[in-house]
Amino acid sequence: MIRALLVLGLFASVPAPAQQPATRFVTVDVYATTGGRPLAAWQIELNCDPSQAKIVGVEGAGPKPPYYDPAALDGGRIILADFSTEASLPSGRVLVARVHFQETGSPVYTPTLMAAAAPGGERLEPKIDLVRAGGK
Amino acid sequence: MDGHPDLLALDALRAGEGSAEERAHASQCPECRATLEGFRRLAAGLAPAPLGVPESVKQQILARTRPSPRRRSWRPLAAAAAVLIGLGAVWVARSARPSLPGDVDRNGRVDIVDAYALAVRLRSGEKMDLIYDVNGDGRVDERDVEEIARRSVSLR
Repeated sequence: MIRALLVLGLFASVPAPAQQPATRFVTVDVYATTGGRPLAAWQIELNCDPSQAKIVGVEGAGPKPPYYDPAALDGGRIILADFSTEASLPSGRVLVARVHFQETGSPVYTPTLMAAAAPGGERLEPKIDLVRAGGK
Repeated sequence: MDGHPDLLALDALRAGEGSAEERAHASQCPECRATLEGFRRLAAGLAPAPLGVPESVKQQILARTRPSPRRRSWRPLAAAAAVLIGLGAVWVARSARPSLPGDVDRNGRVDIVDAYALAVRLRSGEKMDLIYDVNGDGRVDERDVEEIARRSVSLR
């Protein structure tokens, strides 16, 4: 009995490991809804609190990523942009980019449309929305 | 030489052209020398603006300022015409040149639509003015499109 109490006392004296925030890797898909007009060019800013999530990667809708500043990686703010001079362009609700985040808190992601254009350069005002996935 | 050289002749002298006779006259005549000096100052002020006034407009203005055989009252008109030509050239040059490097659609900011607009023009084979040489390599090509796109997403 005394031995058991000693063992328990020994365990009780070992400090508990520090509480680490849970880290999750998530993706945030960025959509632009053009209302039926073909989307030739777009530029969107995406923001979150960098203490809650950090940008770790960027993918485009196609084989190559959109334009972005590499300085955005490991931070909470990024400007994404791309264009196409192809004859066939997407319209409707268009997936334009996928951003990978490392979350450590409960971030709020805020997209802001900076520019968009239809073929020929006419300015558009598509609706931007986000879909977060993963990290469960 | 009979009388003063006209304004076109004086402007030709300013540009290093004109006949030896006109040059000799201009070097001796205080009035012509003053006009020539005015043209030189005007040309120096317009140096950054390579666009000129259409020849037809220039001819019309100068036709109104040519001296009549009886009176030599063209000097104030010539000065006014020179000022108008100068202001017109500056205005034309400013309106044709984007205020920001890479601002192809001249909306006052550089964004991805400018890169798109330049890419479309290059793809159509349109000959592009060097004002769109954003990266300063002496050519307007796909690298300038890339440069505009990069600037549009820069966080700095």
